[in-house]
Amino acid sequence: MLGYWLQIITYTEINAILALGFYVIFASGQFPFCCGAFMGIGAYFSAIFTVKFGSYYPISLFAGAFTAALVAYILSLPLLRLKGMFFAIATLAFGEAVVILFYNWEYVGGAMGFRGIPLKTTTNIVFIVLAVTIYFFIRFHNSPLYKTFTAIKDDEIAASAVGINLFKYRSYSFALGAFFCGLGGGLMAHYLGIIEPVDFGIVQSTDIFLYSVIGGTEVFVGSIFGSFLLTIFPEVTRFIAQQRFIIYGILLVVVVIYRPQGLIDKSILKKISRFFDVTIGRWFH
Amino acid sequence: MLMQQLINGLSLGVTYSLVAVGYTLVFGVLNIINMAHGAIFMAAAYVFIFFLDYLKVPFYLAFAISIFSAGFFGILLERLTIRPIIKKGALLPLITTIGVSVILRNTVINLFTNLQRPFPIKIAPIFFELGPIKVSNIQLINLVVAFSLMIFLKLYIDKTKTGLAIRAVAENIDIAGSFGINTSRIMMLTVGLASFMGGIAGLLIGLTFDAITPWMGDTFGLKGLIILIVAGVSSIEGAMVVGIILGIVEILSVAYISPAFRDAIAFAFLFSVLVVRPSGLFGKE
Repeated sequence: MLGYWLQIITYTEINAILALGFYVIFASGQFPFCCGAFMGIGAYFSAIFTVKFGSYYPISLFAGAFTAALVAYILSLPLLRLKGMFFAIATLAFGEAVVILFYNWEYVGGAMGFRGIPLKTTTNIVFIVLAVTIYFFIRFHNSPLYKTFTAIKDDEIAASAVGINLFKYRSYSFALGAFFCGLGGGLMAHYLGIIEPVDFGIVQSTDIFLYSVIGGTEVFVGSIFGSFLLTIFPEVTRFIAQQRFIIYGILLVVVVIYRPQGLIDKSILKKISRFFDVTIGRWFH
Repeated sequence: MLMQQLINGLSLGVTYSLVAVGYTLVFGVLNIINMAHGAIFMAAAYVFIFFLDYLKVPFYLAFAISIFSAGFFGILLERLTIRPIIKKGALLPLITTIGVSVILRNTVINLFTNLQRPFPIKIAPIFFELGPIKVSNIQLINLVVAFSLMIFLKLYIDKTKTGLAIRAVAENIDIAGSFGINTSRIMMLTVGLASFMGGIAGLLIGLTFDAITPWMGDTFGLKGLIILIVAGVSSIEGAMVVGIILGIVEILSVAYISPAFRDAIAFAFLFSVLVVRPSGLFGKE
């Protein structure tokens, strides 16, 4: 029983890291639809490092995440020319292309998937990674980089008028987000021991952005909250397992129409911070 | 042999064009990308199966119910999930239509399982020989139906009063409104019309591939989106032409390179065009 809940918590924490990856990209105003693919790149490449090159687990994790970031950076060259909606679709296309590439790549198992990955991830390790990630985001939220991203997101014409290099910062945010998604992928690969190409397609990308969009896109806490809510919810309501996706869809539509900033936004955080303590509250926005 | 592949590609491509035109129409008038387009025609295909197989309704009636239900879903989509947020920018309807596609897809999976079904109407393939080329009756149906639909659409938009209203709204919604055009009704009509045509396209796809799955909306929808971007979003003729090009390129690559990457060809197509001409082949800079 404890093992079951530990598993849920581990999934939740990995999902939180993935959602934060989406969040970072969305924070600069672009809507990526390929976070599943970045997760997959991180998963496959970290597994390659561990299994084929025999490397030390943290190095593989890093290698996987870094590969995802590199791919994102290269991809940003042609893709960032596209406006919001079209960027989203191009990333969707890219995501599906990656899945097809993995399907056909015999070196990592092709359609059968990559098997026999050593089970190096423990709940403790994920907790530590998540904690470090959260620390990063707290620092990030108070940094000039975040202000630059927000400026681009709010009004790119004004931002470029004050001299912000749109392409440079957008590609940074894209690569950074891909890094976290890749990190989540690497953790997942070494938790499950088996990964298959189909795990990293549209469905996964949709799940990832669901956590962030429903949870809240104004502040990073929203993505964490969203992943907790949407990962734990189906577990405590097991009997409606298949319907849960329908509920997610409805939730997404309702949230976007009536509360587009997501469930957790800055004003809720202010209320929570007043409830606790001014000092602690300042960390979270 | 090459001529044969070209005919195969043409017949396939014209189906893709039909899907793409649905996106172009909605984008032109509402300035949004309707991510639920694929899901709607997928759901309409299942409506067809339901009425034909389960309720034993005659073929013509089931067909009519199916395509009108596609149009109806489109109207519902516009009223419930697009109308409330259309003023708030283009990104939000993108997300809500994704939500709707999640809802539709999972509802269908719940009701019909996610197993692939064969198309319920069996047409014995008859080949017509025109010199060295063989054309099947299914290919002919595709060509005839798709071309006549697109010609009908062109004529409707160019020659009728409603078509003029649609063009006016597409040009500038506020000025069109000041001329007394009921813009909200036009928007509803456009989405309904696009979905209606999509419904027909979906049934053609089911017939051609002899398969109905809950994922067919995504697979073909994505190709339609790629066509939309490559063609440059502004023209219906552009979508028609690019759709045919994609069909031909796909068939040629299957014949002369490898069948494994069939679906990836669309992405390669997209990326190569994007790198060279980001506004699309027929788009305005």
